Amino acid sequence: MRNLIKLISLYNYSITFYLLLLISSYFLITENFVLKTKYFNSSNYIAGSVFSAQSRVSEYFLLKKKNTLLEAENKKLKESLTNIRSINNFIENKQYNFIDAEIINNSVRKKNNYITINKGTKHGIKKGMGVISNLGIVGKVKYVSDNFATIISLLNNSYFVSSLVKNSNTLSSVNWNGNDPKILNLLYVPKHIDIQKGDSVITSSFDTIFPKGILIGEIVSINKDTNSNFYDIDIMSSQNFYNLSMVYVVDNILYQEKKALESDTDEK
Amino acid sequence: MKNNILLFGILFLLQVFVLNKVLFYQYIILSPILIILLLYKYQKNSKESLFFSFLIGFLIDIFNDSLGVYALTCLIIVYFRNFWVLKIVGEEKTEEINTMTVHELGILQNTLYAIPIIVLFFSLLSLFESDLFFSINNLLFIIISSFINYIFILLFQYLFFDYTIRDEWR
Repeated sequence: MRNLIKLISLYNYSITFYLLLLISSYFLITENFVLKTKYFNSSNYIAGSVFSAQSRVSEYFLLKKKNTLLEAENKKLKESLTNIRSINNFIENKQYNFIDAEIINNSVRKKNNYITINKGTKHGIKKGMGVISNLGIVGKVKYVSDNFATIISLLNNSYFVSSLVKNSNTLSSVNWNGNDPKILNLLYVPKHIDIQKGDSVITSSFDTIFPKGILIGEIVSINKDTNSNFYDIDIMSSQNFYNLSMVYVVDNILYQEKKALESDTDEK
Repeated sequence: MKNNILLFGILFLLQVFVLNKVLFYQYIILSPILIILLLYKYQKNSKESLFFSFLIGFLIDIFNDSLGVYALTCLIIVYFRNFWVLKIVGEEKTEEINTMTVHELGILQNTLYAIPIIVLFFSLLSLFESDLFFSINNLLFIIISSFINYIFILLFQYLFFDYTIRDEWR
């Protein structure tokens, strides 16, 4: 026992290093959901409060830019409202509510990027809701605390969005490869489908969290020389994640009904 | 001592609230936390330095939503630094030096001491944060960020640190 204590005291520097190395490696590589949930909730609480104070100050300097963006968005909304009004039963069939929120923290450089917004369960935000802005889709709500929510960004390696190529109505999936924040990958488009550079890629609504037709991006390169049956396609994201400040959280009123029906069908 | 704590606080806040959010020209991150990791006094086999680096890394992780990335990077950097400083400066001289600044080491020794640590720091960050480590984008990020940070750290030392070394070491 004495020898063991002697040995430990002799190598206590290295032992401390390896111990801390183990702890930090565990934090890094673990996929332990419970730990991450606890971590994100506590970091939401600590960082969220500080970031919202910081954001209030920086907001003053961004007011002019924000105004211009809002004006453009207003114009766009008016145009779409005019179109929508022509459909008589629009009000009766209303399926989505939008909760506006402000971004208080945003990362773009990591392979798994997250965004923090200043709205939480108190404002009706729930886990799994879609998030969009006036330029296109942004991501999906991952964790929610009372006053804040963390969004899994479209710039996240592990996030896939159900999509459609607008001109051919081809069902596909969009994912980010972790490299250039402006370029996304369009997956699972079979080689027999005719697609062109410049085709728009929009949300499909199959995942129930986004309304159909929200812009994701535009095809910029198509590679047919792959060993698989699918194209290798790059799309230019319509969203500029560098200067994102306002977002809308999408509340699908019929989400529960659709999910319940689908799970009933699966069971049978 | 009070000045150092104040300086540490300012550098930490700068890292967490400003510079962690800014990517200059898509390839450059300024990391003032490197100043702390590079410059503080060397103590042989100091467990405190390991705990300290782990703690500041972990605090940055909390504000950066990057569970473990900075904690692991800072820990490895400090472990490597404690080994590297002995190779470059020598044990006898390190005991006399308070802070590992350019004034105390001289420009050549300071460059030999700092550059590998800075390059390792950004390589580790890239490795832990990105899937595509061996990409041109990542290599450019490591090289450009390391160079700019070295210049930044050098300027910082000329602006905020005095000449305190005894002449015999020059």
